[in-house]
Amino acid sequence: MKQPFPLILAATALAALLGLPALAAIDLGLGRHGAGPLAGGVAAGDADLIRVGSDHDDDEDDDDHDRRGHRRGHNDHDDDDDDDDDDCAGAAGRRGNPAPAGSVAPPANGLFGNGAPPRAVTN
Amino acid sequence: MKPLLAALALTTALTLPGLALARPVTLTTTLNAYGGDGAYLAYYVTDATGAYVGSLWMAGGKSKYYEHLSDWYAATGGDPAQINGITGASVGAGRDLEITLDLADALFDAGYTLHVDAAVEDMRDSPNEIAVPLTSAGLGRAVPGRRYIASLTYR
Repeated sequence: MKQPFPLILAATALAALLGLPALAAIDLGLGRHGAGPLAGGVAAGDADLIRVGSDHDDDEDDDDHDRRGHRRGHNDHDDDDDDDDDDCAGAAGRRGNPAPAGSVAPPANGLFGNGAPPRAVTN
Repeated sequence: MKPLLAALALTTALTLPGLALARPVTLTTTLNAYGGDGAYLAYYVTDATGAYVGSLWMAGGKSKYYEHLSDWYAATGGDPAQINGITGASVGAGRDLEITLDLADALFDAGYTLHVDAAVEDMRDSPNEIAVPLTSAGLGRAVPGRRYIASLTYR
């Protein structure tokens, strides 16, 4: 106890090391759409760790959806099985498809903690 | 000694919230054998007033079909940014989809509701197929869907 400062410094460093990530997860609600109780906590650098258990589409023929789209006002398009998302795309389509899980961090909507990244498995 | 104790108290105070703020939650969705193609499913949360808070998962990757998830679409305008990084494949009839998410503890027992919209090619859209309050008591309880989903369980 003659020299408490090294201990204090060590404890403070430990606090910073362990506490700052916890503070970073607290949502301050500064300009986030739909901010909830927590900020989305997965940093962009962690995105590489996100894995999706089933990376194939169980639909096995996503192009089937194209036919529905054609029935709804796009009958001038052909019914080929191309995979071009620009065909018959509405407003959402023009904005592009969302980034799949594993490619980017989840949205900062306040629902997610900063623990394990989202995973999905289809059985 | 007092500064040391204060530092240790500060360490504990800063560390414990990080351990308690979120928990891993698994959403298990079992689809009926409805005899159609893969279902698009939108999982999202509303607050106690019914206002959209955010999305948890999107099963189905093509945004041009999101308009058929009509409640979700009405809340988000189909904005892909709402589901970047939480989008996976559509789910076939009769299949199970198991999603594991690290969710904020504050979502439970606070008036939040988990909704699932469903849509299948050439079949009727099913907005709000499931709406289940997020509560501690509801953990592990299967909730039936209206059309395409046989049950949803979060635990």
